[in-house]
Amino acid sequence: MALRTTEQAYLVLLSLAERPRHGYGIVQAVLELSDDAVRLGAGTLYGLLDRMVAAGMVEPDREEIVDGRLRRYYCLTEHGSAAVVAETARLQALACRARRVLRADPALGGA
Amino acid sequence: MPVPDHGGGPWGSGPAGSAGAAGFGVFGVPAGISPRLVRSARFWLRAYPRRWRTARGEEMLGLLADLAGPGDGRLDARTAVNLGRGGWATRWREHPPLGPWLLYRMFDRRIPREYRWWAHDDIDGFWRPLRTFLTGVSFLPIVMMIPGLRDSARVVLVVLAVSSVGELLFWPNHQRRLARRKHLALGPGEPLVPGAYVNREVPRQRVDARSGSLWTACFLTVVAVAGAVAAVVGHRGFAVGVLLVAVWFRVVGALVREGNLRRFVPRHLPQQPHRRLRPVSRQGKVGLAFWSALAIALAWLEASGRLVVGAVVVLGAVALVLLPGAAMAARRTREVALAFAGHDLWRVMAGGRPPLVDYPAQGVAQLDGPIPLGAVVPPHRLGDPPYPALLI
Repeated sequence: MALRTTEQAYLVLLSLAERPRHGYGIVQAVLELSDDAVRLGAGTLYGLLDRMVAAGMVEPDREEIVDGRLRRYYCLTEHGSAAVVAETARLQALACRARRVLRADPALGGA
Repeated sequence: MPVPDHGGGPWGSGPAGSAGAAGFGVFGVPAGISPRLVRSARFWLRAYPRRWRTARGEEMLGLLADLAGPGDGRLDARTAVNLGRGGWATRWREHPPLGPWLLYRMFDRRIPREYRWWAHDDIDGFWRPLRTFLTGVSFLPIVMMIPGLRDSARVVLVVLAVSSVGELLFWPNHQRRLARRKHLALGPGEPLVPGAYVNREVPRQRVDARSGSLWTACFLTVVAVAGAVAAVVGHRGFAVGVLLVAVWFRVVGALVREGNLRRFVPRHLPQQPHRRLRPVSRQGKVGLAFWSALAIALAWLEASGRLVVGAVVVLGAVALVLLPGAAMAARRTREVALAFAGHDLWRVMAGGRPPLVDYPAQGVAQLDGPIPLGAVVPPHRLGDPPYPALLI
């Protein structure tokens, strides 16, 4: 199943690229990666995780119980890693093109 | 689109519904979280399908507790809306497309395998009879458009209502059991994976004696009181005589039943390896509440003279005869720590016969490992029973 890579989905994948994380860890990592701009709600996060697991991009890694709370860790699969690398490359190319456009227009601060 | 996973469904391999009505796991209230916050979270998490809550409920609860501020007694509005939206989006994603859904709902066609776990929630859901009824009702306008069938719409409506109410009140588990065997079990040729449902012999479920006798005693009390009120206020004379005879039978019957009970319970209970005891189900309680309300309504009609059939007097007399036995059984089963079924009590008290040993029933059960690599459900051959027990 194809998953549309929205900004939230990309940030979740990016947060898992570093290491396996549990739900709260993902929320915190996304907050940090987005410079406090994206605060994931629990419903949004698990909706994304469900779709990512169904798409084979993410899989459960392990479980642990901390202070009586169940924490299930998720990690990227090969397909997920490839998707986040591809999306990063796409965004990078987009940023390059954007910079070129801005440089060409003196009104926008270009030469 | 759901994942075509036959083992544990897309979210895990735990049996749905195994963790209580709310569908949560076995951890209870996590330490350090306010019980009020847990109640609030569980309320909003009901937006998610039952099977999802079983697989992910505890995990989500931990996250919600982590996200909540210190001292928060309930979820804030933003989180609640977010959960509601996420839950219904999950339900929508998992729902079968219109065609298979209509065939399943209207004609009981087998659900495609990728929606099997959705069907699991649907079959075990409390409102299944109502959903079936409403689906049928939604087709009434089409029936009414067909010339010649317009006048039959009322009959169709009554048949639908009777079948739905009957399913809920008379056979709350029978239709579900059949539906599980038809829609949840793997078909011939499908690979066997841990957690998947297969047709096989399962323990027979019986209502335990403690729960059964308590609820029966409550129900009989309501019917007996209703019958007595209708007899004294409405009918008088003959009806009161009927009740007095019932009281006499009640005294004699109570002595006989107490003797039977003392003789057989708990000393002569046979081993029951193929039995699983459960308390009275929610559907059973709703059914008893419905029949109690019906008895009260009949009593009111007869006491006020609007109805002179005397049905509730007869029912009240029967209830009076049976009530001491049920009350005695309820008291006795509280004292005895042994587990036995209401069915055993009935045999012992009413007939003085020893309890029967149950045979296994045909049903569905989840596979657990180890399973040989490449094992599949064997093909169904001509002459095989419709739901062969699986041998692996």
